[in-house]
Amino acid sequence: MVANKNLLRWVGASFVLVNLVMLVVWGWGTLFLLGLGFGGVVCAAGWWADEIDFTNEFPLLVSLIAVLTVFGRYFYFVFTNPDDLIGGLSRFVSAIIFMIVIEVVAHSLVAAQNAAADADERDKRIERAASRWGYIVLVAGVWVLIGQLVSRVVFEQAMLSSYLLANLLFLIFVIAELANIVARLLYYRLGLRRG
Amino acid sequence: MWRAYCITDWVCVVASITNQVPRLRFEANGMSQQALANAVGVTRQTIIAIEKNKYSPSLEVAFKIAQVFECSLEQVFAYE
Repeated sequence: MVANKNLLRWVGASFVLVNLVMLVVWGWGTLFLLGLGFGGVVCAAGWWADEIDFTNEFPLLVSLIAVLTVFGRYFYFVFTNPDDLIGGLSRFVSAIIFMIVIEVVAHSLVAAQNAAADADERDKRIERAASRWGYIVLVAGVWVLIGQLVSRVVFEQAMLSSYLLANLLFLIFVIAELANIVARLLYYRLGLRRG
Repeated sequence: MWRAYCITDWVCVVASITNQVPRLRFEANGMSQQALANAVGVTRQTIIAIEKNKYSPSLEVAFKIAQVFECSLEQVFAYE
C-alpha cells in the first residue's frame, strides 16, 4: 500500500497543527515533540515524494522520529545532569518503554492496513546495504571512544565515570541505529543498483 | 556509447541497466504492476523500482520477468 502526496501533506499538516496547539496550551513534552517531528517529516515527505510506501517507509519514518526525539531527550538529560544516576535510570526505562509502545503502534497500523508482506529480494538487499552503514558508524564510534579513553590515560586526565561511559557507548549504538534507518530510507527513495 | 560506472551505492554516472518492462506490460493487455509482481514473486514496489531504473533485479527475477512476457532476457533488459 502507498500513501500519495496529498494524503501525506494533509496528515502531516494536521499532526503539526494539533501538536502545536497542544504544545502551546499544555507546554513542552516528549509526546508533543514526537507528534510535531512526525508531522513535519510526513509533511516534508509529501512535498518531496509522489508517494510513500506504507509497508516499509512508514515504520522507518516513525522509528527515525521516535529515536531522535525519545533518545535525544534522554541523552540531553544525561549529559546535562551527569550526577543524577537515579533520574537517568528512570528516564532510560521510560524511554525504552516509550520506544516499544511507538514501534508496536506503528507496526500494528501497517498490519491493520493489510500492508504487511514478506520481504522480497530488494528489501533484503536494502537491509544488508543499510546494515553496512550502521556497522561502519558503530565501529568508528567504538574506536573513537577507545581512543578517547586511551588519551585520558596517556595525558593523565580525569577518567569518565562508568555511568557516563555506559551512556556514551549507548549513544554510539543509537547513532549507528539512526545511520541504519536513514540509509534504508535513502535506499528506498533513491534506489539501490549494487550491493 | 556511454558506459555506467557506480561511484558509490547511490551515485552512478549513467544508469547501467535499462529495461522495457513498462512497454512490455502495456503490450501484454495492460498488465498491472501488481499482477507482474505476483507472477514474479516480488512486491509491487520492487516492480516500480525496476521500471524507474532504481533497482537492478537479481538474475532469477530478471529471468522470471522475461518468462512472464515470453521473450528473451535481452528483449527486457539492456546494459547500455
